[in-house]
Amino acid sequence: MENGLFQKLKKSNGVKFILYPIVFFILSCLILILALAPLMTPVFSIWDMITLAEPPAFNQEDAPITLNENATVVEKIVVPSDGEQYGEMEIPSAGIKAPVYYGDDAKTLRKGVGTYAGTYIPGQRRTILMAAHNNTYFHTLGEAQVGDQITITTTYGKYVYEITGSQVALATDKTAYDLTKEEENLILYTCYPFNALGITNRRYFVYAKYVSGPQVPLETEGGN
Amino acid sequence: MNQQSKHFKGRSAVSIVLSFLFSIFISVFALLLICLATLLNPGYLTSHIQGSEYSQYRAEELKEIFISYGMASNFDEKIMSSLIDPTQVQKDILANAQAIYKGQEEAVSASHEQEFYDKLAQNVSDRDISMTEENKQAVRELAKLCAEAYETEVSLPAASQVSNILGKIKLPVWIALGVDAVLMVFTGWYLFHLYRRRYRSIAYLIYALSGSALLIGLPGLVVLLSGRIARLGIINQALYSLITDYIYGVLSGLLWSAGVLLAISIILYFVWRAVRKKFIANSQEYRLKSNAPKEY
Repeated sequence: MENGLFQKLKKSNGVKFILYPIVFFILSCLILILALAPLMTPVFSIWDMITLAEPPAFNQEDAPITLNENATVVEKIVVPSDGEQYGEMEIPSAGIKAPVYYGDDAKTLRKGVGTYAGTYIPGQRRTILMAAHNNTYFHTLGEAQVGDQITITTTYGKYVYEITGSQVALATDKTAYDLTKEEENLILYTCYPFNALGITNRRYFVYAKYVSGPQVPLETEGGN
Repeated sequence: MNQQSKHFKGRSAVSIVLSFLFSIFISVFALLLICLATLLNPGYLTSHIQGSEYSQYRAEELKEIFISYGMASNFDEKIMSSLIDPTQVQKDILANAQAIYKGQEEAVSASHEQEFYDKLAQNVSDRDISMTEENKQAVRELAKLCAEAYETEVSLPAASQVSNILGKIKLPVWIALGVDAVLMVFTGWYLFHLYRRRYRSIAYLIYALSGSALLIGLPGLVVLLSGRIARLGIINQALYSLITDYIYGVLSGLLWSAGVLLAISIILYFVWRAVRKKFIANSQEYRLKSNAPKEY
């Protein structure tokens, strides 16, 4: 009888050593959930927003893009991610052929022509502002004359612009460009003079009007 | 007999409640200690800056930026890269990290602008380009731009906000630690002395310690195994490397603490077994009361 009781006691203690900690854990979690209930939904939403499906990949070479020269219609234009190549620019009269990226930070401009993210991209029926370095991709921009063509072939269509003018202006001169125009037009700029040493406060602007290329329908102009 | 039975049940209920509270206090104590050892410890941040290669990535980014500036200002890749000294970059980043904990915005008060200007001017001279006033001004502008980019890259993001927050929470954390330590000791002492038969008290201590181990370790383990930390959407490689490394370190701290608590529980379990065995072997009263109602 004593042995039976001892066995019972031993068994019940073994279960308690596992059961009680689990109960304590569950109770603590319940208390935390009740206490933090108002915060849980926003916290989980933020957590979902800041996590990706896969770990981010770094230092990858730009994936080759497929340019679309033949599209005649475009219903919707998806704006590329920052630093993403989405096209190629050619100005035959100036001997310029360069990749076109979205964004215009220092790293992007090292690789090609950057599109200012505060404007639009070809096909969106608005002003497009693009820049490149004077010592590399836009070194010969000054050779392009009025009437010369600029071709930008993107992943969603081919766009042609005709140069209408150029000027040298101060970098801080906001009258040198109009970002609010409600018709598609292209502005290229770079530091000036082209062989300048150091940082100058002058910029060389080239203005071009839209000639051809698929544009978003009028009711969705200015956006996707 | 009934009164004795009720008394035992009452004491049992009190023991469970005390054990639960003790478990909470231990968990809070462990979490506060981890906070002091990680979040509020400058050594922890600096060790992770070094371990995660944060400064190497930042130095690479600076090189890219400087080369881009060079492409706009007639300086080649070689000279612009030579402006960056990875060892100095690391020193400056670590100094800025330390400054966060001292309540200063930045420690890198000495700008590198003059140093950059001197090197660039030397390069101009080596290229036999005349250093006119206009050129001097342009090169000085470039040096200034490079210095500004340098200071931005070597400072930690949101440093002043973080410094502000850390300054405010340090004292409350220490106070909370002290208060919790007192509560923990008091509860533990009371629980230990609740029973004359120490093995019963030890059993409740074991429940509390194991419960704490679960509370501290299990959520950390779940987060670690979920892989969410590796999928944080931080697009800057240097920052991604530092933040993920930092978080993994904190999670490791949680798991280590849980492990220590579990180890103490296991040791106490063997103590409990020995004490109980000795009690059973030596106690005539236990044998006489073997038909008495169970106390637990």
